[in-house]
Amino acid sequence: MNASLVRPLVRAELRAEFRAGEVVMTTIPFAASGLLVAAIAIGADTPLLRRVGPGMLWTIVLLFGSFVTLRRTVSGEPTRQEVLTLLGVDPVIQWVARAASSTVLLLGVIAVLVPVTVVIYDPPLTGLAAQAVAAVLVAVGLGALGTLAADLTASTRSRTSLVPLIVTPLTLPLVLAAVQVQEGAVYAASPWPWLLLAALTDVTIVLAGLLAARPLQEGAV
Amino acid sequence: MRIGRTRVLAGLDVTVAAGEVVGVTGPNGSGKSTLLRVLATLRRPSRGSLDILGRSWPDVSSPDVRRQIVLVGHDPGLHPDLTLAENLELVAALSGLSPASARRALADVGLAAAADRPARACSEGMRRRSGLARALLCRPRLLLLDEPHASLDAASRPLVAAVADQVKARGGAVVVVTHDLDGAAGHLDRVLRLEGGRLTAEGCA
Amino acid sequence: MTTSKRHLVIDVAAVSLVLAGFAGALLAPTDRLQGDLQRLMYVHVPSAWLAYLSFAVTLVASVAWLRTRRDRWDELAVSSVEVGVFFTALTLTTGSLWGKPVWGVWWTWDPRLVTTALLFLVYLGYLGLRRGIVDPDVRARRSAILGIIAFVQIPIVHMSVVWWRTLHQPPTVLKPGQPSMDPGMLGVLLLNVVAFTVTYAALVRRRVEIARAEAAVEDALLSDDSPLAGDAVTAPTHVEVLDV
Repeated sequence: MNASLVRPLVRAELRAEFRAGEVVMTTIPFAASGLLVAAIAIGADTPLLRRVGPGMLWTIVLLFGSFVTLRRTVSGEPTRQEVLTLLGVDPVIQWVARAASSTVLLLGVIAVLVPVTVVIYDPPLTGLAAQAVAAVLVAVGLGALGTLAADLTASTRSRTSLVPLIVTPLTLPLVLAAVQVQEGAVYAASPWPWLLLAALTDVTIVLAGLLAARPLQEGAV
Repeated sequence: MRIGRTRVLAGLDVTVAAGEVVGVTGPNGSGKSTLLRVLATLRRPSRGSLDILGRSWPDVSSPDVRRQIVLVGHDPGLHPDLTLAENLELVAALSGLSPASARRALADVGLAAAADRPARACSEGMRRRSGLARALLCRPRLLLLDEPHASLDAASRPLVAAVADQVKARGGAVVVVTHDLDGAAGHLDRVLRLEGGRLTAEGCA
Repeated sequence: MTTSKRHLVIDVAAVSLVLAGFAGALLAPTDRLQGDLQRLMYVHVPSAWLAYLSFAVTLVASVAWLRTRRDRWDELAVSSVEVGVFFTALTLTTGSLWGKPVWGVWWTWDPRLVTTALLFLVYLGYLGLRRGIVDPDVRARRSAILGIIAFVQIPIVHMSVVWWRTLHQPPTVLKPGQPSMDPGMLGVLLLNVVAFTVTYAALVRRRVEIARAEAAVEDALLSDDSPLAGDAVTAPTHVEVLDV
């Protein structure tokens, strides 16, 4: 297994997304409109919006983040996967490259949605360092589990709803951690327990993805 | 050989020698493409054995065997949002070759001017040719072509023969699935005819 | 004893135990605080136990399938999920019906309740995934992987909800199954746990039998002289028309 192959694969994945703009042009605006509609539905109650803002942000990231992993990838579709397989690229390497590029894109999604949340909901901005770490942990776990779920549902009919159905319940710890870190910052509580929990979640998910990559591709065709 | 619960190939005994170009022909649905995928180690035969380059199951699916096989199917496996050059440069990078060699291969199949066009903007024939460029780039010891003449214009048909000859000259083996025996004649050392998943005829072209 | 006789024994055992458990639930002493409502416990607690048992069985069967690639493990895994999803739904429904009059709400953020609801959703996803895949081998492989991931992730999910609750407010609400239970009630509860477990075993056996019968039918169609895929294609007959 040659880990140096991850880099050209990630570069190709990101370049393809940069060209197609699937995430930038559809997922992000869709998610932003979700934040806006939720705020309107809750009502123009400023203190209430301020309190629910972070929860809304992470709920939206969780729900819409799955779409990032459903985009057209370089190594995720059967014929391209076969080309890579015949080039001797290990399925584990292919999975790592897909999960890593999804994580990068999810960080991009979060980076756009955070200012949108700040503008619409005006949440208290404290403990930003811990929140940034939490955001990275969410992106890693969501990117990895989403990629795994996308592989599990490859070429099935209802995969656009199956992937979120698999991902959402299992990534609950990540959302709870992100929200609690923000809430804890307001009361000066330590973020560490929650960051550790999110990290533990990520480790389990990434391990599962690494172990599943080979058996999954064995039956990809 | 079955796919899911469907039987596709049965009682097939085929040997392809090094330095040989073998044609496979037969009506639609006769299992030609499935045969190619079995030879490419992408499908494991449910019964029977498969030896490639002196290795047998499960050894044939190891990366060092697979790296010596190129399969150019109906869908050449291009990412539609990447240009032809970027698609082939990825293949080059993953095989430890230079980006320049990818562009050279594209030029060899007459796509130098189209290299920077996204694959989605290319015609079926151009994408087919870029598949042949991949075969030139990777220099396989086993080349598997699935109906390479389809969608190619008359001028670029000799390209298939040229690519096959190149592999043959290096001592590699080529299997070509084709409906166009006239077009491929002269380059095939042997022709197999598949009908309904069984071998019905074998002879010289 | 033949297989069908053994099946009959387990079916009869399941039915009679459930009847006994039902009678027990009606005859058990009435709860002083909650009255007859508390009798829901005799359904609620055994269902919850079965929900976890069945998904654990799926975990074991999924691992076994990945190791052996034997069809029967896949059959056991899916059968257990189907029965498990039913009992998870029963747990949630009875819990909600019980919670409304006792707690005043249909839903409470009790960690066990939240985790059970998430279990229900994930395993619905498992069944949805299976429906979407035609090839039996691919289906078995992918669902085995999901069967493992879902179960391994559940303790972490549960832990996160417990933490979240403890930070907000201590769980002081009236809990089902208080430690000091009347011995009569406890006896009936245990009888029902046994009855439900035997019922689970009977249902899973039946479901596995169905899966096996389906596979046998497919295999029978797959003998060596069964038609090959290509036999379905014949030469077109309208060629002369086109020639004109």
